[in-house]
Amino acid sequence: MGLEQLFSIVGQIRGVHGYIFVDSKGNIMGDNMGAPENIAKMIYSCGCELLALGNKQFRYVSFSRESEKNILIFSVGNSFLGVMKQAGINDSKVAETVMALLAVVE
Amino acid sequence: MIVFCEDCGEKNDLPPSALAGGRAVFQCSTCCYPNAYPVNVRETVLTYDADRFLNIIRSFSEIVGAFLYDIEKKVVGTQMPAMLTQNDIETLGSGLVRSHKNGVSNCPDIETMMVVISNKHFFVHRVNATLYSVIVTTTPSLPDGLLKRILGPGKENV
Repeated sequence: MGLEQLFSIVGQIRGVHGYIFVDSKGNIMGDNMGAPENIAKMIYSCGCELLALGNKQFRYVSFSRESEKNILIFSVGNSFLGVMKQAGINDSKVAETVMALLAVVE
Repeated sequence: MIVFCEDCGEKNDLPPSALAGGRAVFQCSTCCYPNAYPVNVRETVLTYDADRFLNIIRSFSEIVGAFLYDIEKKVVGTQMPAMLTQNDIETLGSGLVRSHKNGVSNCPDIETMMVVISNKHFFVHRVNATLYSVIVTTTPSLPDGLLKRILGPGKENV
């Protein structure tokens, strides 16, 4: 599965408001968010930190926000996928769907 | 802070800024005498009650571990599995807190962080300016009412 196809599918997952994919150096590889640079930095630095902490056991991190548009970060090899969730949707349901998709890709 | 005039003995209520450097420097509001003398200013330090936190944690069977991590003092209270060393918990705490701070610096409206490692969920909350709580469960949500009990009245004046 190519990256573009992956991005397209992620963007269509129920509960996903937006996504951003950064590579192993923090460069943005794809996104559908306006002004993704700040979130890209956060995704990359938090992703690296937590991947170092949990190693292969790290599954994802969720940052809950007042707006409920929570930010979830998944590791994809040495790269990271950041997802902004829609308000009113359960975090774990979105996370499980994304992880199932990533398992197929990896 | 209430201080007394050295000349007439009347009370004067001074703001903290008037007590800089441990000296009360003021003109008496009653007799206008210019006062300047050393004072002991007791600092009120709010500390979080770590024992109370751990007692609350013990009452929830679904919690597999928890600890308090202070940015300056490191681990200040822990109830983590015995297989983890103090060093392990400090490493965990510093990494989790760094990530939380990183998240908040980019998105100031972030409230909590939940990290999933293996089948464990690590909930990280900022208790005060330097102190964070880390609570570990096997479920993707914390027990009802736990946060309110932990982040509520758990501070003691020293």
